[in-house]
Amino acid sequence: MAIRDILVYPDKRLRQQAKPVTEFNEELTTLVADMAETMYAAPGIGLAAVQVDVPLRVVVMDLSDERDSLRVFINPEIEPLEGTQEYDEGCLSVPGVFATVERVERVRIRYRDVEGNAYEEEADGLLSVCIQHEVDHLDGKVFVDYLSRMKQDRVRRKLLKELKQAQAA
Amino acid sequence: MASKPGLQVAAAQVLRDVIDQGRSLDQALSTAERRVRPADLGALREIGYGGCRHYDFLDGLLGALLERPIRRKDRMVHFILVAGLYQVRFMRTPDHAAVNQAVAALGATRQGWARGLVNGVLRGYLRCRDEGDLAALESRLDPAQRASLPPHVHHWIEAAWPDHRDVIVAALAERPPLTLRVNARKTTREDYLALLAGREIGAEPTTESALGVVLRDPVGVDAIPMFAEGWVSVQDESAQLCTGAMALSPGQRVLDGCAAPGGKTCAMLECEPGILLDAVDLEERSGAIHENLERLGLSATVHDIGLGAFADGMEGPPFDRILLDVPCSGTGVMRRHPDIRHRRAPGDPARFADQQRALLEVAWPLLAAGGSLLYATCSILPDENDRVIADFIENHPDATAGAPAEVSGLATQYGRQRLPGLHPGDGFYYCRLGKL
Repeated sequence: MAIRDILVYPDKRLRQQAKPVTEFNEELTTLVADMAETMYAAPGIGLAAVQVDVPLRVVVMDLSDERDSLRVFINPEIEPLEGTQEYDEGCLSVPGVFATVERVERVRIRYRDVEGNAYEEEADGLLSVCIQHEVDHLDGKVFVDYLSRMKQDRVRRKLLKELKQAQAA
Repeated sequence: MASKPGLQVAAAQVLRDVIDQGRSLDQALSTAERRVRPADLGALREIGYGGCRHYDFLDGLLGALLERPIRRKDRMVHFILVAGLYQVRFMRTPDHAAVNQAVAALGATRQGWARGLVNGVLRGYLRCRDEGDLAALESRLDPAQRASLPPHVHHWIEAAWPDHRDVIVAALAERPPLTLRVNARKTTREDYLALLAGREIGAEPTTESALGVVLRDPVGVDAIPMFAEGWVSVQDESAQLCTGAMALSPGQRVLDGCAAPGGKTCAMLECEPGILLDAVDLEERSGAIHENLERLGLSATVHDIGLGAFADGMEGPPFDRILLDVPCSGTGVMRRHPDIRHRRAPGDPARFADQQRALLEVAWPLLAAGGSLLYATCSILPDENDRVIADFIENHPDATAGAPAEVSGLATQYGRQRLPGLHPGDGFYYCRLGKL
């Protein structure tokens, strides 16, 4: 297991379209293990493979207070069901920025586990927000894209400045 | 996705860092500020400062509200409750928001088991308040908790000033005013007040310092007009009185023996440009002296060493004036630095007094015959003030001690004591030692 580097907005590689996983092999198991370790170390509650520069449709998540309930979603698909909800979202690829995003309240999720078994469940609350946030990553989207142009510019400037400072140091 | 680090979590961490881990409030805040959203920065600082200022009171309330104390290992739950109580008691946070945020903070810190407890305690407080029972609840607090001071700090003040205790304690729980010192080399107080009035910044002249201006609403230094240009500095009114008490005149050799951060150093140079000033302090502190001199366009010889090392290596004639603004308990500035009360141990006044005696011994040989040394502390405890002076003059037949006429305040046996609440400004002590 290894902690991988998380891409930071506005890195262009966050825009890549992830491809579905077709081979459920050891390589996938390693990727999932690394992603979990990276997410826990960050610390975060969800991580998409695109964020560690792997363009595959893989998401890891742990929403529990105790941080002991890892969930893995391979090839997740979302079907919107009903309602809207707002949540102050943050992203490991956009450090230090939190903003309110409106999303569908209730969704159906179809996904596979690391062995390729298919599942389906309905979700609301934080699980619903988080899976929508992560599937966006797999489609090359970042939550910042939902903000006003002015806010997007501000976030971009802030993170580029921090990047420059980090490089100078 | 990153989970939102709630304001309450960050605020509780600040309070834990200061109260349990002895960190300074500034250090604790600078760590926590990186964890919250920009919109929450103001509230974080407010809970940090206010939570430290009112900690013992809130801790007492919590004790009265809880059926049994929170276990030692669950301190984050304790501090989340303290932050929540601060919000409902001292801030305008809507009740339901404070309760909900506190409960959410438990989730973020993996303390979900305590949801019922936190909800119950905060709602219990609100019920008490709404039913008019707060006075009864607060009557269960002991005097130190009502004064919001740790028991030993409360005892120091009670023992030192039995007649003024209540006034002092009340003043220490207040937010301090933001007081500026006008740089007489750049402008006058009248002109600066006019400039503030023109920008609709409410301000008044200080009553005892001729150069002081009090801003009605405290702001950050970035928002103080002409601050970067060196027209004004932030300095408490009691501290401003130091300059007059030095009785400076052109050509004098002056030593500022514990100079950092350089506020009084710069004030002396602004007031009397003709002095030759040596400013001494340890390298880890002296950076601020250089910064202040540079901003104000003043020059002094800064020695980045302790007073002992400076004395050992000193060449040249002795000094005509010495300012010894010694390290102290800071009991006079606790309203300005609300973390100080939590960082003082019962033995501290005696420990500081030893250091103060040692510094006086080091400085005294550096003073010319006929010269004077101004001993200053921001302490209100006689152990660090008159008692240090009494010991000193007993052992030094060539020393006389007296109150500087330029400073008003309570006359003590040897000096002048300014007390928070009784006099404008922070608590300060000044004594002038003359050398025969």
